[in-house]
Amino acid sequence: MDDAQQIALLRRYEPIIRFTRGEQFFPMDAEAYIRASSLWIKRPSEEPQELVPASALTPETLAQPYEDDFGTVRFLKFVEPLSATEMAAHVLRQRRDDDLHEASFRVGTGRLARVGYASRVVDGLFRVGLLARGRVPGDAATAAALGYRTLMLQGHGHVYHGRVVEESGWVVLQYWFFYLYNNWRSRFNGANDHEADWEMVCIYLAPNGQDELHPEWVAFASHDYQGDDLRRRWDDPEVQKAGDHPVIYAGAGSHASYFTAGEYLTEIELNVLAPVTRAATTVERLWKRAMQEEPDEDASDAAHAGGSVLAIPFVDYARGDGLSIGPGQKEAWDPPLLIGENIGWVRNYRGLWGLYTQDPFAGEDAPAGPMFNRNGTVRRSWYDPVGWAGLDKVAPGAELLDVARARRAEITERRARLREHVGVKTATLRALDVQAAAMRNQPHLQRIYAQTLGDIDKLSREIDGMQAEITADDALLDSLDRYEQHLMRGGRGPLRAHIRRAHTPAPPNQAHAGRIAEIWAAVSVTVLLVAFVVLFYFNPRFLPIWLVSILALFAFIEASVRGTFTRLVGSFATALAIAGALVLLYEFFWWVVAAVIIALAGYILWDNVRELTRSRRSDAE
Amino acid sequence: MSEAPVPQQIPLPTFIKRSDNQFRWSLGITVAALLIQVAFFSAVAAYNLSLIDWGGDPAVVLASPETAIIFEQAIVLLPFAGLGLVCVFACLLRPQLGWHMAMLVQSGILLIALQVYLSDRNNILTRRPLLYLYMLGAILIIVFMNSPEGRLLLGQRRRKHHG
Repeated sequence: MDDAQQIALLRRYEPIIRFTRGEQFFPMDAEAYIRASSLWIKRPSEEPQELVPASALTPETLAQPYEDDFGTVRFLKFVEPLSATEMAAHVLRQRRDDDLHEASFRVGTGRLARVGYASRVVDGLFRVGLLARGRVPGDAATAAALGYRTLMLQGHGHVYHGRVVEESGWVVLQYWFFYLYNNWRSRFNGANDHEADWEMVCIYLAPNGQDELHPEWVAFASHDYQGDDLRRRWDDPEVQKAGDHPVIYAGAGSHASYFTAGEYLTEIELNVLAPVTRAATTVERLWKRAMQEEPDEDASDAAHAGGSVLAIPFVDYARGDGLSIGPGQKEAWDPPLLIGENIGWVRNYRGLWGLYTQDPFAGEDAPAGPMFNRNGTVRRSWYDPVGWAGLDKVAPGAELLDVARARRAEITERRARLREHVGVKTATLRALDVQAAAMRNQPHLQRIYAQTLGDIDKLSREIDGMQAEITADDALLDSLDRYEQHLMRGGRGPLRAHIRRAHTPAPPNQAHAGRIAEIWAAVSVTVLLVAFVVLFYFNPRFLPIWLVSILALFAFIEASVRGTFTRLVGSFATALAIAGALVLLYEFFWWVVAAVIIALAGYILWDNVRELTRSRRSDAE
Repeated sequence: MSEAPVPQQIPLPTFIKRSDNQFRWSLGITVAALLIQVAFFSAVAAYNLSLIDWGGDPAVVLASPETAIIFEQAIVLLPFAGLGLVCVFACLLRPQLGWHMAMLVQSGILLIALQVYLSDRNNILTRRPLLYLYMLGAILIIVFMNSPEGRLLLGQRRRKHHG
């Protein structure tokens, strides 16, 4: 497939991206970013050094192969610090523009109102940690916005980078979107800020039987989701389309891609807390089982099922109420730019696209290029886009019938082979049985007789296993036969059976939680911590009971706000009852043992007497 | 030959239809248990108060440490006896509210009993057998109220049955 054909194919199915109101950065030409950036190097135990200044860096320079010591990181740097005057001027202009165009972002329901105390405390620590962790400076987003505006004024339009890959019978259209900056944290209360952002979606085409390519699947990259959960079938109603163009709802600032407009609760778990999280989740599950609570209705989505107790919540706003780019939209795409391993900077530059902050959680570090992970290894979405979306096990639609038939033929053959083996082994088994019968009552053949009996047992088990396999194959063949008939009638496989954890927007009742819940979520952790300090300062007579009482009071307020009061009352009372029961058991252990034995004896007596009287009654009748 | 009844016409077995009766039983058991607890607390409090010789000035009478402890034991029980009575009325008038109140009162009893158990190791403030009886009573009431039968007061089973 030559370049013109690839571009034609990319344009035919190019997506429409709907942004959230207030978004400042849109897909642009990555080479324009390179030309406006400087190249830096950070060697272990050294300060970063500038290798190539902004005016001298070109895509060709970046394409030069290089060798570095272990632990060395190269990175691009677009943003330079702003002066206070520039900052103030930009902020004023931004406010005026927002007022004029009603383009300002409106914060949704507080993310903290959707999670519990533990997550709020971890969130607070995470925020405080930002002061100590490596992070992108506060004025970087403003400087990036100014820089982006300048680039746009120079005539750069909205453009995507396209790549066409043929793999395992699929033709994969990859749409790579390069954003100059990710300002999810600084503008939209998200998890991180970083320079540069690469996002990607894939459309999977396959021949439809008449040698024409048609789309069968589409996959959107979205935060840490991977495999089967990323993709949807082309005819899935969740995939919104305008003609042949799928619609992407981009997260505000994060630019993560979603199939449906909405506000997505994304939880980030810190690796250091993983063991605590696992233990807490196990305890919670056991407690729910003990309390006979019904499982959450939407257990498929961890976020809605309560998620992890120590995860930090962030809301990704993908409302789609802002600028829309794509065919038939307010803004159109410029002609796509093809990328591949033939492009030097794609293949040879393994460094970061943007400031290297040395953040231990890596959230504030810039990403690598489209081909690489941050550590310089090749991304799976690049070398295996089919497997990346879990499609490696899925045959294209036109091949399904053939695959099903081939599988049926395989199993039929295996079953015939098994039957043949069963026949042979049955004959042997019968011969052995005759042999054993002939040796019975012959003391001098006792050893061979015992061995023969052992062989009979072994062979009998083998035949039993093969017969079970044959029976299972019969059932399997029936199923395959039915599935083949279904395919021949033009049917297809289940639409969404492959999705294990669908990322769905927060339901309206969550998204519109009360104002009181939001206020409480904002102040509760601070009030709780201050209450503890006051309590320890005054150190009252019954300190433990005061601690428990304060915790209980906060828990009850929280439960009332979140509508889980009954559950909490039940759990609290049960926990105290267990503690009380343990005290009684400790104090009266042998009395309890004696009581249990007497109760058991009484029950046995009662049961026996009942059986006795019942049998006498039936005798009398 | 008469036609077999369609499933909707088949009368339900009695054990499925007993929901309303069961609710009444649950309510009855809860109220009875709470009343017994109230009576017990009141009796112990009254007995303790009767042990005090109120002949002189109350300030002087309560100045004695032994008398003060006995008085304290009686006074601690009275609020719970009163709250227990409130729970009984709440259960009769608004079972759902009554369930919540009763559970909170039992939790309060257990919380204080555990605190006393852990802090009063020399048995100065309490007589241990009585303390264990308070705990046992609260535990049994909580166990019952948390059981599917006890939770009928919350109205869950009834709604499900009619739904």
